[in-house]
Amino acid sequence: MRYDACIIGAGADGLAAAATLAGRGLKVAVVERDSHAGGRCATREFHPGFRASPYVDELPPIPADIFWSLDLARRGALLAPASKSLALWPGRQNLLSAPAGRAEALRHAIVARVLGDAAAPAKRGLFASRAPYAPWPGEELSTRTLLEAVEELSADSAERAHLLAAVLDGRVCNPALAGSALQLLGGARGGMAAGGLGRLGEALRTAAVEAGAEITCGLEATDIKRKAGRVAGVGLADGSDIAARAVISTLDLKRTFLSLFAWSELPKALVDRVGAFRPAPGTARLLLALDGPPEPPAGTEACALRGPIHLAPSAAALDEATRTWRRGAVPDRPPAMLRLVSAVDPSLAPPGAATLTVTLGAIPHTPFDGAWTHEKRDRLRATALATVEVLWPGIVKRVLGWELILPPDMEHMLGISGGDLTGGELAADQMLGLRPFADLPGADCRGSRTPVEGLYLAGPSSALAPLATCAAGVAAARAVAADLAARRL
Amino acid sequence: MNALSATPFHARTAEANKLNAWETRNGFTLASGDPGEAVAARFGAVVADISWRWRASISGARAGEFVSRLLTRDPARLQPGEGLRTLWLNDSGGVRGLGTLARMGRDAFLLISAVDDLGWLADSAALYGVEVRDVTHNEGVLALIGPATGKILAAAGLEGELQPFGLRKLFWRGLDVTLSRFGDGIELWCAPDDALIVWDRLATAGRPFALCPAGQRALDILDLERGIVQPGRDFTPARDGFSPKPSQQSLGLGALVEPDHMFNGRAGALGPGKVLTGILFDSETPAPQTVLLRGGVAVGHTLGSLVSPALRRAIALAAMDAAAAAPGTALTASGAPCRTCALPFLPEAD
Amino acid sequence: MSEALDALVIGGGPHGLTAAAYLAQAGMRVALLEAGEATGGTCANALALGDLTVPAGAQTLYALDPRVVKELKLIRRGLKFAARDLLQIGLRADGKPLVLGRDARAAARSIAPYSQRDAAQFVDFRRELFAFARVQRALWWEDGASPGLPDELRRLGATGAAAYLDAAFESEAMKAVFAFDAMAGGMSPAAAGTSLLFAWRAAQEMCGLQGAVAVPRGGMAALVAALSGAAQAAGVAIRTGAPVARLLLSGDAVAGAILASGDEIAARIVLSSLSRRETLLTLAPAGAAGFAAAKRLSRGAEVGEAKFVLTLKAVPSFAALQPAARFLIAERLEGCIAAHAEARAGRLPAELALEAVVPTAFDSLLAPPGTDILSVLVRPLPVAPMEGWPKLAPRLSEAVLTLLERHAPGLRANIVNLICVTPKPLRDPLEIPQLRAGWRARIATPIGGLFLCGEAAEPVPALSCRTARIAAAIAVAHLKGAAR
Repeated sequence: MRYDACIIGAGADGLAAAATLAGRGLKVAVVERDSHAGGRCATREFHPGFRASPYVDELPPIPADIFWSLDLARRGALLAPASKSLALWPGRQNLLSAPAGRAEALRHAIVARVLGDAAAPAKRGLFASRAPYAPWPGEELSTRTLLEAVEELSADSAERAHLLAAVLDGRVCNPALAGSALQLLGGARGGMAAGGLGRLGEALRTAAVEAGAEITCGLEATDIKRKAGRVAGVGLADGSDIAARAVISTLDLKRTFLSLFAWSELPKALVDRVGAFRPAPGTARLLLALDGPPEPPAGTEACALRGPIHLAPSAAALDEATRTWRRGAVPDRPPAMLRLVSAVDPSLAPPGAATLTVTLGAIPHTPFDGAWTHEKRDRLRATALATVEVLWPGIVKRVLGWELILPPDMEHMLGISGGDLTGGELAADQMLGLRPFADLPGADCRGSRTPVEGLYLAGPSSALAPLATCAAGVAAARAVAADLAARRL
Repeated sequence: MNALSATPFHARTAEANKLNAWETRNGFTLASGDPGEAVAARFGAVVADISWRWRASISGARAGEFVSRLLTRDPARLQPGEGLRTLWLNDSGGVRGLGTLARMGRDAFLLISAVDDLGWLADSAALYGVEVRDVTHNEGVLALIGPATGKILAAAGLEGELQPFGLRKLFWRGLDVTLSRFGDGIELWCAPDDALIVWDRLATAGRPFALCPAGQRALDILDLERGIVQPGRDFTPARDGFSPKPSQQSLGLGALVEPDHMFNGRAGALGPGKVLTGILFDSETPAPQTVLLRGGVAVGHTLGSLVSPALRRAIALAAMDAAAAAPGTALTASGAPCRTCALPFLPEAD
Repeated sequence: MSEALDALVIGGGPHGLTAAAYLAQAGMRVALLEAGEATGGTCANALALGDLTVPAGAQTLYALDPRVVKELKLIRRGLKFAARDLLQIGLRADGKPLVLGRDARAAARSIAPYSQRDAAQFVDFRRELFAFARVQRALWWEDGASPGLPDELRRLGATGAAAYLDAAFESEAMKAVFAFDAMAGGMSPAAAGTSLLFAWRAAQEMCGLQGAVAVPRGGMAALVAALSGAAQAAGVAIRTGAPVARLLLSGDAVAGAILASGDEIAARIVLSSLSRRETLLTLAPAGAAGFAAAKRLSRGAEVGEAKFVLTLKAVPSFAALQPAARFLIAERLEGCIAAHAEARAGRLPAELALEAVVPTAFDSLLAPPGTDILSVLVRPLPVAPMEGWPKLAPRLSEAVLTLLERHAPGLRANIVNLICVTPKPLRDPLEIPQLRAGWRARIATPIGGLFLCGEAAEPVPALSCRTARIAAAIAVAHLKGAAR
């Protein structure tokens, strides 16, 4: 049986793509390596009775029309509106509402641009390179620094530092580098999901299944079969094949091209580009089960604990952390973001107890002096707890259980290269029209298309992934549908 | 002009009213709050002040007879502590009110509604020698809505099962309170002087369960998401004695009329009518009281309409012709595309 | 104990008897229930005045439906008229009386001393009024008819009697003559639409003459006797001494009545000749008529009329020359408007309007020779005065006697007996829109199968029996429709 499309990876993008394609009447198969679907949209019981979303607490927002068309709310995905974030320094604190405005409008425009590109059928051969270049919304950010951008939003230095941390949302970058203003595009939070992000994953899965997609879990895609230069199907770990006219990969860029193909089969320009695609500084997550909710810091109201808490953010600290990461060292004082997730969603902890997540930035995948050992893990955990102790003395005694998730763990659990959840650094040469690559000679790479005919890239390395959840998948689905309809495949 | 009153919980709701948005209902000043609070009711629970809802006490030897004639549903089978949701109509079948009747004793009833109608009730009750008094100011009432409601009440020490449309009086660590289940969630009634104590007790009990205060906007959204029709927001009740509009048929409220029961205005209330359905808009622009068209033909009209933050789109309740009311029917409302869906909009939290 | 009846009629006055007779003639099994010991209502000779008995209601007929007279064969059953066309005489303290009869020249002669213009205008006024009235008869005499001159009807329905008369006449005397009729039904002459009262009165016909006022020979009791005979001949079962306590309802429709004695009588329809208030608020179960309707009915009429009957040793001087007349006494129209306001406030007005008739002057059967009866209607009076009627009645008597004495010197000395009937509290208030609405709206009630057939359903309260006739027809059609 020949499918119209085979989708590798049943994460948010994969499921959204499956639901969109199946909703148009196409035959869709989804293969997922893990035993259940959802990818980053997961809820994990890391200690008996205590649950949290292991990788991130909030994903970038899902565009409204995609949220409606997949009917996610009625399928169980209830997302809280973004709450204010709190920044704490010794002797000073600041409460910040999510800054909207220009960045939000740019995000809408970029999503619309990519979806529009996707819906226009592919141009091949000579026509591809002759297509006129249309400027991207947000391009002016590629030459500006994040510090400048934040200076426009506020005059107060403490608030600026808070804004930096809020935009980065647990990640790190060098805010003084030209092009770091593009981080603003990735700085939107879509809200915590009731019951953890796993519910969002289930809602997406339900949308896909009810639309008619076939989802197979526990099966890894090992390579992509081609015939006469065109994609013909996906080879699976158990030796079987899925024949499909189009393949959407929701794996990151490196894993898509370097593990699903033999390098020699691909054009050299592509392989060079993929190799040169730089990862972003990784994050680690410490999930803590506490015997009770900690007291709000002096001078804050209880509702301030419902949002992310940034500990002593500053531009200098970010810069230092980025440089440390580049050297491959583990920072002594990694930038930390706390979230008392059970204060928003009481179902994540037993009654009377609390669940706390700690996001540490600038954590290397492999430290320069060797892989992560138990000692190194314990040291990192101690460092993280020490940071939390500054805010809440004595918190260590209240910890009933914990789980530490490092970049190699994320690589193992999600199949993402380097454990880099962002799928590649949000730098000027890796964003907008250049994410993941610009048009290569003879190939139209707009709207999630790749130089390999019949292969489409959604997933974290695609242009829309840092901006919006599910949008990359929907874009790939529309590209597939447009190309199939125009019989380009 | 009469000065507005403050509800017994005003001090706490004012504190929680971060947006400083206020509105007036039934002569009370109320905190409007942020519409986003409605989503919090899907996570832990929210507490909202509903002391402004009009309540009338009906008592007298012939109270049962009067109430039976007044309401479109027969209250005879109610035991003390039980309630039902009902309409009352004027002589020609125009809907004057929609609310909940609770039987408090053999000859004593309580009528609760979002819009008051004391004049009509008092004049009509006089025909039976029955007394009707406005008791809205006698109590403060809070609504607790959300999946953690039961746990919060248990943590606060308010134990016990409560049937749907049931009511129970309790003695709660020194305070006389009443619990009821007449609408969304649980209602907690207390004396006005005890109001702030009650609020603080609930806040303490609810802290581990993410209990948040919610304003009136969130309350309206939660009602709408559950498909609960409220007079005032969803329709303008008839205010004279003989106008047949709005009829229960035109509002899709046939479920609240028992055709075999003898009630005031019965002649105009019989017969098939429109069906109450939900409408989902493909935008965040609400469209209340708007005609719905299918292929250019009018098939119904929307009642109240708001933006639901959980669904991230505008929703509405609508009264539609039965033929067009199947879920998924595509319609337009003043040019905006929308479609029907079954009520409630969101599945009940477990 | 129940009987299988088609129809029940409540009230044995002329209206009830007429309705019952018509129902029986249509083939229904009918029972009529009268609370008192005898039928007749206000037409029965129930008031004792020395050795005489007189009726408590009006003693002239001006609106009796000729079709009722014909179809119930009342002439054959003994209804004769002692006077067929009473003159309308306005008594003035400041001059000669105004004699307004069918003779145009005589009328003009009597008006001329007050105003030449009015004398000339009067004939045209009366002719136009009568012409309009004839056209509107369709609306006022038939069920289901529409107004003949809707624009004119609408205009008059908005015009008050005072404005109407001011436009027609310039002299105070002429306007005052019409003042008494302008206050029919407890209306103020200044109220909008009261000019229709004249039109309605002019639309009536007695003994073949339009707008005539007649007096039955033998008094109103003769009318009752004729109607009673018609009813019995048709097969109506008349029960006296049977006051109705409550109506029986089954669902939202009437099913019969319960007497004060506890007897239940089942019937498929019930016609009530009592007032709307009494029928729907007292007899019907609480709330059965509809809450808004009940509230609207809870206000009774506030202004009414009282009746005085005097027995005299001699005819009053004003009746000496032209005894066959209705004498109208009112000083000024303005005064009557003010009087109405006072009556509404619950006080005895300073100025009063009277209609006086001396029936013995043309019907010798009413009293032994040498005794004369003077029957006087007084308007406008409060129905529920602040002081209460027991205290107010003597003052009213004094005022009325003073007024009569002014026009008939020596009257007081001739009085043998006097009786006063104060205004009744149970009357429905007159609403001008009733004069423009159809019969069905007035006859039908919110309770299925219950119809009003008495004065309450007349456009203007008067003894016409027209309502009874039409109500009977509507009731029969209802029964036949229900049977289908």
